[in-house]
Amino acid sequence: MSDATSEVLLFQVGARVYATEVRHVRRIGNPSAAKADDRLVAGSALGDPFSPDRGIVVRCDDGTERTLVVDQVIGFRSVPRDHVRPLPPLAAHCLPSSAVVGFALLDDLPTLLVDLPTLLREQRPGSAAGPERKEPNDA
Amino acid sequence: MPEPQKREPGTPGAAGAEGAGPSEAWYFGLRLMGARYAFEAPLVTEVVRLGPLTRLPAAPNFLPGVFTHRGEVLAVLDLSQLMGLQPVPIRPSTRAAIVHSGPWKVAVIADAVEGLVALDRRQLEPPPAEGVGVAEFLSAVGRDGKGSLAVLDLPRLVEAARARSVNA
Amino acid sequence: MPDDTLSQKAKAGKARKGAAPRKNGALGGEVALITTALDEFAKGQYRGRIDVARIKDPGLKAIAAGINRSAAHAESRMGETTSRIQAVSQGVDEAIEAMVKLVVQGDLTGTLRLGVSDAALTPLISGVGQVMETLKRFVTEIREAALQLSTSAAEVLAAATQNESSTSQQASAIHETTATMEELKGASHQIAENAQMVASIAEQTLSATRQGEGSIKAFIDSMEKVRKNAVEVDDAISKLSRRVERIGTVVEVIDEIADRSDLLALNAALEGAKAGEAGRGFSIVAAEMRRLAENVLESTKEIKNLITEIREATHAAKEASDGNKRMAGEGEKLGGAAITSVNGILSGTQETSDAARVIHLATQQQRTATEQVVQSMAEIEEVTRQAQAGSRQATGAASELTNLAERLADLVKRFKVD
Repeated sequence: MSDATSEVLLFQVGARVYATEVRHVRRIGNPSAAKADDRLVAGSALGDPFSPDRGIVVRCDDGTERTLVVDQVIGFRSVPRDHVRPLPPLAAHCLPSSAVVGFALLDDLPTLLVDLPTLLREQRPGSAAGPERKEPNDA
Repeated sequence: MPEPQKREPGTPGAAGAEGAGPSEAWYFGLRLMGARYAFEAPLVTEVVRLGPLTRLPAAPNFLPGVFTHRGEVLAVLDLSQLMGLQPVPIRPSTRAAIVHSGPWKVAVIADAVEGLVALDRRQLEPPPAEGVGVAEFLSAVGRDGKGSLAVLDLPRLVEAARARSVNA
Repeated sequence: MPDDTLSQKAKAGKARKGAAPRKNGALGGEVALITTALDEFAKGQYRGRIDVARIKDPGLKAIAAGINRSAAHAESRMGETTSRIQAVSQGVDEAIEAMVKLVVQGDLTGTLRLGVSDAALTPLISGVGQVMETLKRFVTEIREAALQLSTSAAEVLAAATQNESSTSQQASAIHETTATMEELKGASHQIAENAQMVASIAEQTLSATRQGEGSIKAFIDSMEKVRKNAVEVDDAISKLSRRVERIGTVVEVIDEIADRSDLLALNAALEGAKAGEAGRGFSIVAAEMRRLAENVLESTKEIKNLITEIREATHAAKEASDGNKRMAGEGEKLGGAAITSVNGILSGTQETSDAARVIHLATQQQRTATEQVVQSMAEIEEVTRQAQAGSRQATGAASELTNLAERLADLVKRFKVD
């Protein structure tokens, strides 16, 4: 991966399109084939998928693999660094989830950039619906 | 990462613009549900039309989304909803004032934009003691020929927003 | 005291004889005295006495004395009788008075006591006593009779009153029955008329039905055709459905393959992306594969849509056909039912015709019978009315009787017999 670009995977959950850096993505699978345990996440801070058609298998912080169920895997994009924007401080201050880390400007439209490991960490049973608040400038 | 403040031509400087006396200061007025609010004029870099909004997941209601302006992603703050009032209707004609203070840069939307207002510094009063609702993010209350004007403090606004988003 | 009249008369007599010789003159005068006295006695005068001193003749003296003695005897005897007669008269008067008093006062208990007593009155007294006894007996009997009469009169009145009310009830009951019978008469008249109408309608129905029979048969045939047609349609639809399903199955398989290809391509692209520059070529190929898979998925999506449309259309057709079948089936049933009822009507109409005639006759008979009943009821009513009148009369009579008995009792109450 060059410093000039980021490779992102575009996917859709519910009505919104999100982008995530490919380095956290293990593979793309069929969630119906996967076992329905806590490794299958079908609802997150991003919302609930309409239909469990695709699963993004994510390598989590603790080394485990968890699958985020999404409506659609749209494709891959190379995003130049200067097309990546941070999350505005106010948004970072007020959003309950820290999973949204910024925006990828695709065709000048900001697409939400999501850190999937963080997202899935927030979904861990025990951390229930209240993931930790992140201050701006936190990693 | 503070950005250099952008100044539109015609924006008055901090001291002594034409029409403002030595005891006067410039403010930028907004109208909300019939009441008048203002930011210190130097903090307001621009007044823009809202572009298409990207909504944020699980965001509080006073944060309708973000939009891109000049390549920058800005958060939109609905002042009305922050005060617990009705949402500002977002139309193509809706104007946002981009307000900048320290690390905070926010596109504030209101019912209407009044523009530059000169207030007598000597006539500024501290905000009312009951810190309920609006008072907690005012820095002062001023008066001019048209009536009273509540001066907003952006950091305090942000704090109020954060406090409210916990409960949202 | 010798009556001067006598002597005067004797003198007068003497005087008449005046010229007779005195020798026999004195004797003749003495006889004249006697004769005069006897004439008086013969007239019933016994008070005169002959002056015996005047008679010298010793025989005549004796006769004169004897006449004086008889006269005195007669005089006293007459006095006795007079007083006796007076007494008896008085006694009779008293008796009559007493009897009258008795009757007026009504006291028959006592016996007759007279103020005077005379042997001649004894039979009178006993006679009156007898009369009173008889009267007593008579009164007692009347009293008893009056009492009995009262009782019987009361019984009759009670019975008559009861009878009156029961006859009154009976009368009203009969009246009701009569009214009902009248209605029945009217109804049976109507029935008879209706029967007449029914008979004529039956005739009409008969001919119309015969006509109808033909058209119903035609209807049944057409229903049969529809049903057969529906069955054919059904078969065609079934065939179509089966084919569509088969296509569907194939499409499903293709879909799955395309999906898997897509996944494969995605993952290939993922690896390519992770590899960065090195994986660029790989990514391109993967992208191509994805596009292919997407194309396939697009087409299968189109086919799937088409299949869905066909399924829906088939379903609609099947429903319509089923509807037709059902309708035809029902139609056939209806037709069958119609035929049955037509046959029923045909025979029934015949029966109805006959029946109507029978009803007509029957109602005629019924009418007669009803009329007869009404007649009888009328008669009964009449009798009852009479009985009512009679019992009213009886009541009246009994009432009258009671009154009379009371009056009689009152009358005899005056008489004390105990």
